[in-house]
Amino acid sequence: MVAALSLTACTNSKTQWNSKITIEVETPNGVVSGFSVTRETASFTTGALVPGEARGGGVSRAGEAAVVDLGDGKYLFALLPNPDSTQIFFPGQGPQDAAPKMAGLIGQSRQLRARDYPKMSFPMLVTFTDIKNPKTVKEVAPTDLAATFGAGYRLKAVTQEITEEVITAGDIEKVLSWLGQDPEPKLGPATGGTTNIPFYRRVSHGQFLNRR
Amino acid sequence: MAISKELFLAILSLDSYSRGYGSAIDDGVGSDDGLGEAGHGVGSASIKDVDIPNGSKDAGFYAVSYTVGEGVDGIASGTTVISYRGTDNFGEYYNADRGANDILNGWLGGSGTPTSQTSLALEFYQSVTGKSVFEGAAENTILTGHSLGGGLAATPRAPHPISVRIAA
Repeated sequence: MVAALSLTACTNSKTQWNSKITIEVETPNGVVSGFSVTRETASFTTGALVPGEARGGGVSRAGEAAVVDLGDGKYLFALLPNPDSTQIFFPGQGPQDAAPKMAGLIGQSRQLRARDYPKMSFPMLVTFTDIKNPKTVKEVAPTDLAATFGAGYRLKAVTQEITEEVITAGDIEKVLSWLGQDPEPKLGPATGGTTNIPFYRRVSHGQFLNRR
Repeated sequence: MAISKELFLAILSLDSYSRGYGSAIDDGVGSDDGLGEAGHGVGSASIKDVDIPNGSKDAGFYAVSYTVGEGVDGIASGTTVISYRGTDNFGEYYNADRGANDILNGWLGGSGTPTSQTSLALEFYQSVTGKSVFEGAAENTILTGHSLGGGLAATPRAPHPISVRIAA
């Protein structure tokens, strides 16, 4: 009963939109690209019985990471959660102010509802030395793809678009056959230590696929 | 200058809101790691590389463990601290970032009813200390948490009620 009373003394507002991230990469064989469509939800909670630490809110993202097939068994991934679209479209505004404006972009011309990612806000990019072995994950510097993939590779553009397209599903699992159901596991076993933490311990399954 | 045990544990209690999935603060480095995960630290405390249990997000559970170094009055260097996150999802059944509702999955534990979060609190305790709660209190280990996190911190100590710090 306490829980029921608490929930009634709570107001939760929600605004949702779908966003499409597209990654374009120059390769020695031409430009290739990949994308994913995810659902962003801006939610805010207030209420007399809501404890201070649970008030407010933010923007969450559900869906899958974008992947670019570079050929020759090389892949580039833009991990979740990407910076939320409010930061891209209405920088400097809080998500509570920006969320209604985001919803207003749905159905507008592409010029209004698409933006290049600012370099400072790029999602984390990774690749694998061996796509079948999650422990071989490596971070990729967006400004220097050649350092990872070799001469001729360059990040051409990362764009975010508010879209009416449906959320993509299954693309990432086709590439990463080892991806699990739970978001918590990192890409290799815990060390129990506090130093010399391998990079695969900084990336979790949920950064490739946030199912809910 | 040394920091007091009480203040330091209160800081670590709040720190658990800012790491891992659903972190309240982002350091802008990498992705979804809040203020940084294992290998990073708060003051003299370094974060231990320990997994949170599978199913944690679906239960709205999160915790982090540290090894404390020098400079905290009342806490010996090398002590392990486990900090349990409190309520960060009050109004939604499920939030894609912050996970499941804390009222349904955590608060009910306050009535003595076992919840998914109390089970996960015990599981995380065992992962960090290597010891079941029924084997006696782990040595050199302090449990802390803010709000709901304080309640979860008390759970593994229930059979052995000694050092638990609950930040109000």
